[in-house]
Amino acid sequence: MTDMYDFFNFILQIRNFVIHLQCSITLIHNNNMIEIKNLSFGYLKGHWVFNDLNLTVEQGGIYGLLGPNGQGKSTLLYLISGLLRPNEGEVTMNGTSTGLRLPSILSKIFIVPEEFTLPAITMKEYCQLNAPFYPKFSFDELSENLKAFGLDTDINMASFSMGQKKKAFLSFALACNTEILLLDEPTNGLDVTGKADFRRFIASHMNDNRTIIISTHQIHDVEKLLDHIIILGKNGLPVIDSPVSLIANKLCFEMIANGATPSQNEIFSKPTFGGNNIVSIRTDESPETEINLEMLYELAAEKPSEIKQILLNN
Amino acid sequence: MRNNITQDKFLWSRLWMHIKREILSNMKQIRWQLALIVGVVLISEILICSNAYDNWKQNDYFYNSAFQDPAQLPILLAMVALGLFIVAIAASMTFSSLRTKAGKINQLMSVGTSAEKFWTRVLIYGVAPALFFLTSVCIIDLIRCVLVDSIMPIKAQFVIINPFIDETRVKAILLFCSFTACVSSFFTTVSVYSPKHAFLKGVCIIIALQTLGSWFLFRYGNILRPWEYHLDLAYWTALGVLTAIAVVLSVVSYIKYKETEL
Repeated sequence: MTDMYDFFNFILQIRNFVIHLQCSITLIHNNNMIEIKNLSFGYLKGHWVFNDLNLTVEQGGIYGLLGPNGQGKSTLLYLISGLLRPNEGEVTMNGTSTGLRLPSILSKIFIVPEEFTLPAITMKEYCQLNAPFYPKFSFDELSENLKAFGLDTDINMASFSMGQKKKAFLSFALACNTEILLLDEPTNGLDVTGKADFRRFIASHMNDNRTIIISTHQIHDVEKLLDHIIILGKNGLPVIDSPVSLIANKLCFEMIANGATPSQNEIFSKPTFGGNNIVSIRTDESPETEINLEMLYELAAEKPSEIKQILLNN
Repeated sequence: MRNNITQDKFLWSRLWMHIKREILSNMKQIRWQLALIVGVVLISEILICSNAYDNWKQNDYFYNSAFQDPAQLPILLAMVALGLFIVAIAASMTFSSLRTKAGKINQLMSVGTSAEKFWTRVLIYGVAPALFFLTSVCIIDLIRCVLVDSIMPIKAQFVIINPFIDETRVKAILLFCSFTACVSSFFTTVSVYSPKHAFLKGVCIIIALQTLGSWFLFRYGNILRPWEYHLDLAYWTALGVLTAIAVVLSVVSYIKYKETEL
């Protein structure tokens, strides 16, 4: 019996060693934290949500995952977290498949889904029971977040409103300090001050080791936070998968008054109150402008191949 | 402790953390379930006792069977049936958290191996209610014995029969345990495959299987006739088959749980 036990332990040790070796090799070669290779996934056979998707998420930075309804934003988050497994291809985190749901991976990923349940206990008890599972959990950060959100740790969470529950869960998620934080529609249900606090927390909790992926329709809530934008198009293939700095370098977002001369490099315009919002190709002379995410989103929806071409041209 | 928590192998410490979290997070629900078990056992005992002792008094069995407790057998039969029912209900609720998307996310994303999360739920929702039921029966029946001894001219007999009196009893208890394990693992499997209305679905499957079995016995009952002359072999075969079914169903439900997706 003891021999068998030792044998199994030996096999497990070899397996762990191989996994760690793979992780180390991957980390030496690049800082790609999450790699999605040739991913195909569909809930029904023949109806692909993603067909041969390739995507890389690097360590550090806030990724914005945007796209129309039903294009697979939440599905992609579930695939990254390992809650769903690809039909073809693979999703790896530091070289290990997330679909294996190994504790070493689960302790580095935290997902805040759009809908979630919290037990009918106090926030204090919840943290005492759940925090030990996350090695980098910070009680100081948690109390700071809860204080800013105006939440009391001694009140039973069953009495919380939907917005309060979201605030409490977000506070916990941020305090876990996991390497990957996946947020699905994080600002839904938050009040105006809650949204502002959320933006502040995300910005203040960022560091080089942490990657946050935010899937949302509320683009104005996250506009100023993003370091990298992914806009999904048809078949779940990304129309835009570029750093904000690159987009700002390639495109110019302006609002011109009615009657003003449009730019020669204009590629997209949309009437707005008192004039037109336009997107043009940035030249050496034109100044760098702030990205208008709404315009970028609409441009990606209307002229996907054109925008792809512009961003790919170096 | 914190560094250990991310190890990819099965950890007893992490299993205990999961159990603690599950119990304390659902304390209210678990408390109600346990109270319900005690209540059902208590009410059953009261009803059976009042009926049995009333009959005994009316039929004036005092002189004929002063040393025979008239409530022991009915209570034993009722508790066996009730025990199986409670085990089935509890097992069918084992993976009730997988009913909703939020519950699934909560369950699948908790830090731990699939085995730890599986056994956490099986121990809390499958094994613990059965043990609690057994303990409740023992305590409540002990109280009944004390009360009956003190107020009635009869020697009350404890419902939990002493298994070490003879081999037959040991065999009967072994067979009952393997049957209970079989029922429990069956409903657990149904609960993993279909967490919604698992009990009703399980009962429907049992009725269908029983109908099929009855038809088979009616049609091909002759092939079982030689077993009549080898009762000992028949007993060990039945015990082996039941245990094997319980083990296979447990493995199947674990694999299904491990492969569960959103």
